[in-house]
Amino acid sequence: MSNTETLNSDITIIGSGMAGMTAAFFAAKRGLSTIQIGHPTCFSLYSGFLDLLGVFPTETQKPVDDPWKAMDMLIQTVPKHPYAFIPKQDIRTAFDMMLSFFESEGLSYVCHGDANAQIITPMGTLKPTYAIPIAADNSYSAFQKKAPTLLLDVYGLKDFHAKQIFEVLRSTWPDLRIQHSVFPETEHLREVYPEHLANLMDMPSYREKWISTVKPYIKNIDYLGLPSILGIRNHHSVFSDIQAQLGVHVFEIPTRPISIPGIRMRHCFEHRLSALDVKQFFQQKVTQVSEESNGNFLIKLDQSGKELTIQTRTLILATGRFMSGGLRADYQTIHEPVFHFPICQPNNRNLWHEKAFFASEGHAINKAGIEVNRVFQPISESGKPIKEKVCAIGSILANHDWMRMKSGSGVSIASAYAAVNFLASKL
Amino acid sequence: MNTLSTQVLIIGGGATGTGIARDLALRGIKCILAEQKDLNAGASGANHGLLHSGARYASDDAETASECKEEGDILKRLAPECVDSKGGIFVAVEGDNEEYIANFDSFCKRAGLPCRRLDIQEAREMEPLLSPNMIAAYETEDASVDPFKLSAENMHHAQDLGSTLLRHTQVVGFNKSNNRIQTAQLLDMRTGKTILVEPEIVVNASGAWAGIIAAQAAAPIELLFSKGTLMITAERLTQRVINRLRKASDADILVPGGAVSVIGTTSIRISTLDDIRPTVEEVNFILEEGSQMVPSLKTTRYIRAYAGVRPLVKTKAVTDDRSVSRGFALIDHSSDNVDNFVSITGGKLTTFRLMAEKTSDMVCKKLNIKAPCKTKEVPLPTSHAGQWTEPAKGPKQWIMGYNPTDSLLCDCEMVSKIAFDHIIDAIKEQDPMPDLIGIGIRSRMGKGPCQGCFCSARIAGRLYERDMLHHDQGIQEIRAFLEERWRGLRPILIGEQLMQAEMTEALYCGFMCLEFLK
Ligand SMILES: Cc1cc2nc3c(=O)[nH]c(=O)nc-3n(C[C@H](O)[C@H](O)[C@H](O)COP(=O)(O)OP(=O)(O)OC[C@H]3O[C@@H](n4cnc5c(N)ncnc54)[C@H](O)[C@@H]3O)c2cc1C
Repeated sequence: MSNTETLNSDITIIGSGMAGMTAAFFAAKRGLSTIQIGHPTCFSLYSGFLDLLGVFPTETQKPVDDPWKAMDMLIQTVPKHPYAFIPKQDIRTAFDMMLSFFESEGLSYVCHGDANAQIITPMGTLKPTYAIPIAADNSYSAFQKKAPTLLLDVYGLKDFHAKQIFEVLRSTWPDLRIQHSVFPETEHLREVYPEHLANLMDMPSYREKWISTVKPYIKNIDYLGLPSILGIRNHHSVFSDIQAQLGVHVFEIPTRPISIPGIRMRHCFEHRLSALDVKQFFQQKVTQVSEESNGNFLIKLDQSGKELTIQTRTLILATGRFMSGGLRADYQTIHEPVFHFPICQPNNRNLWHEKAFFASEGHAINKAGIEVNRVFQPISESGKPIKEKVCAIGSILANHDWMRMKSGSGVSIASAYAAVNFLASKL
Repeated sequence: MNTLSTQVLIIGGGATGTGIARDLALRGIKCILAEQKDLNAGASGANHGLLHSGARYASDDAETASECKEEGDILKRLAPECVDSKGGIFVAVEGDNEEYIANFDSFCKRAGLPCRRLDIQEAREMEPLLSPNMIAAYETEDASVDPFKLSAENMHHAQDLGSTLLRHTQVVGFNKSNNRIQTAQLLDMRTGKTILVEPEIVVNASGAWAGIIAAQAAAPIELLFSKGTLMITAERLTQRVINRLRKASDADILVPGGAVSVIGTTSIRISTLDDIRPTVEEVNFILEEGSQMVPSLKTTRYIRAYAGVRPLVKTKAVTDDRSVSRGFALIDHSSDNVDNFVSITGGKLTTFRLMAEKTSDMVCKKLNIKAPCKTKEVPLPTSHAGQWTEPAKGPKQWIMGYNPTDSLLCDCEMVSKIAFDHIIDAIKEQDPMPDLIGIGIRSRMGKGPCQGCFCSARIAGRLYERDMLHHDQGIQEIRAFLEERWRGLRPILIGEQLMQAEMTEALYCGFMCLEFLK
């Protein structure tokens, strides 16, 4: 047996967060032979909400109602914002494609027309977001109507406190109540984890047991709120099943990470991408990419002792920011470790962060990143594309702050769509 | 209005103030201690934690050096739980002053300090991370001290003996007549309510703030402020305290404490006490200087930085802050026509007991009470609630004390719900509203790599569960806690700690929108 293997692809995507996964989906859907490399751990941090644009201008620290309208203003004020490079119609198309993709994978999303909705977080605060997993969306109507609602606390779950949500919301929501509960078969445990509970809930027999313990609490309420643990792979049936059997509307509030809604998304991607024949190499880190004379790229991976060479005609860099390793910072500068693309950044470390963590303008470092042109090719200081067939997408891009603007998924999806379209035209 | 009367009102809940509270309590004198924030909010919570052997002062100030030795020995004997005495090494690297190196042991001998010359090989075996450019080394008796535990236990003991702690209570003024302070005006910083205290004696132990307090009684003290910044590594780099073998200077001490090490300090003259925080420039400077002694200081991960202020009592024209007396100033304000007012400031953590003794002697004299000081003989008791600042305590409790209703709220430092409940209960005895920053001071909360990312929300959740927080108070608490951590994080954010900070922002801003609340 040979110890080396070579794979060829039209497009290789480095990174497997929201941007990388979406790009792999768009590429494979277009019929491109697609390879994806990365580690999709970041999904366990996602709330499952798909943000488009929640706050603008950042300094207001206030939610915007209509993200599409706010986007017009954003593009005018920040002409280098990634949204400024993509026709609005394309952003809509890309978003719609993703929503129907999730739908077809059993993960339905709800939008409230063109408007953002304010969804309850595990802190009891409200977050403006654009597309909401159906299981979370009921919290929106429950809150709007201030309907009689019971929040279920789960014994041993450390990153969800029904009491806190209740306290924060109760002055505006008199009909909100809480109930402590112990999940069956976890009575002996000091701590329970969302993944554990969600896996249990995936099993119909367990669900039966759970429903019978919860049923007695269902009195004089229209809605039942829970931490998001309603299954992973069978989420759809878990959700409809318990709504039917309990006879009330049910909603989930995402827990602080580990967060199940993100893990559900990851499963949808992994399932569909493998069906579309995308070759995924997870638990792999790309340290170097070399370029051949014919313009193709070579990436070497070590597959447990076996050397794997990937030869690809085009590349997408979607390696995220610091947390995911797409950007690195030392005492002097911020750099990008794979291609060493220039990073647009403040002049010195003293300018990276504001004195206050919650500073209204946000931190300058969060707008640092790779500058690209209108087709998402990284550009040099003179504005010229650095590599003809490489695009950068997602949160690694400069000139946006996804955390303060609440635009993470939107920027990822939109830039993935635009970059895949461009690179496909190059093939 | 609430009026309290007391024998002694102590202002300031640092090592000195709590030390005096205990000293007086052991002599049968009850006090009220008023602290504007919380225990160790000043220099006592922002120092190096070095229990000086005296060797650092041996060349210039033999008296201070032997004072340190004596006090260090007492503390090691009577409060061993607060001290980590693994010893120290003084190291010189290429380029350091040869004469100083050669005379070091005779300086130590003169001050009565044990000191042993090490050969380079031996020093390197003892502490492998010492610089390859090391040219000389001495072994000394330096140790580290946990200042939080020290102040907390001093205060606890005083409280057990009948004294009272008022947290979040600022002294804002005095009413004087007949050359005496008749009442002190105190402000409850959380409710905005005024409290009046009628003391027989007022002790101003407010550290760097001593001048401000004294001015309120029209008794001037002139102080200079020297700010010092320090950095905490994610791992303990050495077993012993490492000092640079040269005339005391910047960033030349590395002090281990529990699972971490602390490198510092800088010394920068400042003019006000507002907004004391470590800066990027200071951090860069400490890295350069410190790495000459221990090169890995340049590459190791840092968890945070912090800054404290040394009050230097201005006696004569001074040029170098380090040569201004680091000895303490005990001032009887009779000379300013305030007969029942005493100020104590300056000094060192190492000599806090001696400072407390001298101050208490003066207080007793004024009260006409004959009672000898007992802090040289009576061991410092350890309390149940005072033990949680110790890094090993949480993990031990979690592993040994299996309790099916417990869970870990702080994963980094392994502190469990039951442990936090103890701390919360102890605060609650004194104060109706336990706060996250106060819990942080009394435990390892927020001190590990996550710097509050996970634990702050969990402990706020616990406080909600226990009905101690209502409405959005918990959110305000978390915001305040994260802002407090941020001061120390901002200048060291690179590499992994930057990743962690990004995660915190993703969670609290990106997801939970805490920035929306004002
Ligand atoms: C950077 C640095 C490093 C140091 N390193 C060491 C070391 O390694 N070893 C060592 O032995 N010593 C060290 N020291 C010195 C040591 O920290 C101090 O000497 C000691 O902590 C002083 O304690 P204190 O109680 O006098 O003052 P502080 O701890 O400053 O206490 C004063 C208290 O008064 C309170 N206060 C102020 N105004 C009011 C008011 N109006 N009402 C109520 N309360 C008020 C403050 O909030 C504060 O808590 C260091 C000092 C610094 C700054």
